[in-house]
Amino acid sequence: MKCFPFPPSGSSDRLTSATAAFRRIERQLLTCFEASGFEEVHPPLVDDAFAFAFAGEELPKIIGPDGQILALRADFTGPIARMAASRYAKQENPLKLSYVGPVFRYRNGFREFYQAGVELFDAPPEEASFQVVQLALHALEALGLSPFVVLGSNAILHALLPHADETLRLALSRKSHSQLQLYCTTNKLPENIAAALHALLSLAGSADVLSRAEHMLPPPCKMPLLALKALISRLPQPCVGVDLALVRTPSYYNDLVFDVFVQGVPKAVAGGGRYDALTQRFGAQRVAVGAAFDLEALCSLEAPCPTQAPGPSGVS
Amino acid sequence: MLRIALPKGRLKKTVLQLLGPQAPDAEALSSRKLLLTQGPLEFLPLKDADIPIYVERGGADVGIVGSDVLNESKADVLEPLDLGFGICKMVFCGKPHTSLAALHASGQLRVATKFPRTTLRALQQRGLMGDLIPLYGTIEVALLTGMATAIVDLVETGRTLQENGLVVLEEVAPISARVIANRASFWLRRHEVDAFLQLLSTRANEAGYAHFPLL
Repeated sequence: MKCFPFPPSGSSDRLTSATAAFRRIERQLLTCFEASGFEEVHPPLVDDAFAFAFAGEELPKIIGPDGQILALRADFTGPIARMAASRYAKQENPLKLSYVGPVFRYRNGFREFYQAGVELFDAPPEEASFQVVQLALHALEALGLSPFVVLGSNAILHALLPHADETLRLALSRKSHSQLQLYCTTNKLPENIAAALHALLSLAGSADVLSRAEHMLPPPCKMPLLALKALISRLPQPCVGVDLALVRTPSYYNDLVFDVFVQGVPKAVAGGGRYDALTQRFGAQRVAVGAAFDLEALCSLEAPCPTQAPGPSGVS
Repeated sequence: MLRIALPKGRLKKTVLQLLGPQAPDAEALSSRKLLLTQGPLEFLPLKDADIPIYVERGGADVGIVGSDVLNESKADVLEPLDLGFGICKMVFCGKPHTSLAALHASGQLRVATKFPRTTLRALQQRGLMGDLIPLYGTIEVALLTGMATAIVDLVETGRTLQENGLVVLEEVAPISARVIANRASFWLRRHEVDAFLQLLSTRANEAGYAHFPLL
């Protein structure tokens, strides 16, 4: 039987120069993680489908021989949270783990993504959040980039509306006043909550947004605002923004969330946040914060421009 | 320089009016140039359906597009301003004295549309199952020939429907012109993007459009 000479849609061959660029970036990131005291771990490629932070339709699932539902690794955070809850349960000092490798999801078809990242468990939240955001900035600077970090907090949305659904999260994440208004009317939200949600959309900019937010948002939002303020005061101002409508997927982030942008890439190249309740899924209670880097996005910057990619004969 | 995706479709005229002196001049617009520079702005006239993807992928920093096109697109972009013009409705239409529920119940729900994703979502939200017929041209013909029993399409005045003896069965979504922005550009070129949003918001205000958010 003759086989189609290319991998299926969503997968791709990485050729020599791209692989070299990949390895270079991967090594630099891991060196950076290691210098900050993070040790590399490697969870399995095929795992229990319920171990992942991502869930549902996005998981490429496999049915095991005994009928158990397995999945190709959809994220590192879930399995690493499980390690923290089981294998490393007895460790008393803060647990600092890092990873690098591919994850697989269905998103507009099957896709393979390559990620590197860090997870920090059990450290005092304020200090840990600072360390991870700072590491994200340093790691990108070490790659010769000028990162810009945007900070938000899911705790603010939670304080306003404890059970935010996907429709609301989407309207906020797109900064769509029209979609938000439609949501508020359809769900008959109280006027003060609707007004506060609309305010979140306009609360995006430099650090002074936080002072404005204190006047515009109701008292339960005060604690997370203060936490953001404390964090921002420790970061270099010109490369920090605040976005109180920033929501990230998956939805396990319960407090700080952040995205990092660099010139020349049309989407976030890194991001993360606090997920203090995820280890509960595996029977433990360890507060945590993490960051992940999108290696493909970072490689797109390297612009390897191979002299001539070897193509199969007969295909121009 | 901020790069702006301009719609070549039904919103074109109003968008150019709104941009006023900031719009590319008539000579440039009618030339064969693909990128038009006007002061500190660079314009990229595009087919409407391509605008969300250009903005998502960074081909343009911001764009102006109808929410009909935006809802149909999978692009992940910010949507910070509703300009309040180009107003119409996305609706289910059919022959008089029919309903979606009745067509569904009799297994005769065949929906023709130029907006397959929007239609699929609308059917799912209503718990309806039907045959989706994606088309590119005039949709009403599908109904008149009996190929489809319902259509999903934009309705502005309702005249085409009326002239062909068709009626609106259900409303899917209100439609208007939106400003969209690339997620990275929104932060890395924040002052330029802000200034552009502010400009359009002010102009929409002056023109009396029910834009959102209000100044």
